[in-house]
Amino acid sequence: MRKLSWIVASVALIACAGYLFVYIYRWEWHRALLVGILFLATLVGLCTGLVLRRLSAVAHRAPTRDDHPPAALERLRAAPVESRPFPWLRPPSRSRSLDGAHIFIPVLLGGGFLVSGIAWAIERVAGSSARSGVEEQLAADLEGIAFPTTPLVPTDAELLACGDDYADDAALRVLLGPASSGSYR
Amino acid sequence: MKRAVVGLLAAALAVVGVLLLRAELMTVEVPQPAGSYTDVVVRASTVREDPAVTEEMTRGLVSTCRLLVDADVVEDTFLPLGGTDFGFRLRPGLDEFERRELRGCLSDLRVQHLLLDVRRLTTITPAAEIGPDA
Repeated sequence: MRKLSWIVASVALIACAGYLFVYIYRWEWHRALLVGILFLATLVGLCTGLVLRRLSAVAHRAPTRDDHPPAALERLRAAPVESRPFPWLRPPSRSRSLDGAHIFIPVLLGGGFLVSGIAWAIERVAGSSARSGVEEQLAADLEGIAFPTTPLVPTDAELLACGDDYADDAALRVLLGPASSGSYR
Repeated sequence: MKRAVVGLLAAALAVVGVLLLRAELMTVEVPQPAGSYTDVVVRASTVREDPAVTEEMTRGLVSTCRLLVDADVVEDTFLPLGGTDFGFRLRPGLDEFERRELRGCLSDLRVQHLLLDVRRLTTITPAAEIGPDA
């Protein structure tokens, strides 16, 4: 019965898609709209059925050992054991030669750390001493290309106010500033 | 491999379908010669409607569909041809693309309970009417 439902739904979907194409091909838009709605409804129903089937299959499947990832403890136990960390710090064994090379790496690491610290301090001091002068110089350079304090073009209202009717109004000219004299930059 | 074949087949079908639709739904205006006209004959059938209103419903549908094409129904040419057949004439004549559009509109389910079957839809030009021998 379930299989029959899937077959019927699939056939309906294919038929709707076919008729949709045919009706559009024939310029029969109303029929195409109706069949398109049916096509969408069938598609949504079919997809919903597929999702529900997959969910029910997952829900009904008995949990097995392989379903979950191994726990942290199991991973730790499975990992290779490092039983002897930092072997160069240990005193040389009898089999190794007594050349003192085991102490070289810690000294190198410590030296690198110290040199890095000194370089960081120098960079900080240099940056703090140079920043103020550089910023002042940059501000002075940017001054030349800064936007003017007055607008580049007069606004519509200013143009209207400077019209013929008010052209000789001294008080208005003072109020408008550069707009009244046309002294824009 | 099987999925790829099915996908390729579906893609090819889609491309062919789009190309077919593009060719069929093209709305290019082809100028028709002066004096041309289009004769249309339809057969109407109604469902759960009084047969007396069939003509009125058909006139309404024709008036609606006429708006889609660049032609007018010639006055007094909408005539019952016997039974449930009706005929009318459009001027100027419709080109190929407009004929497709008009046929689709008339056959569509625009008016409830009314179904038209387009029996004839022909554009006649003066040269064709006179004949090649004239």
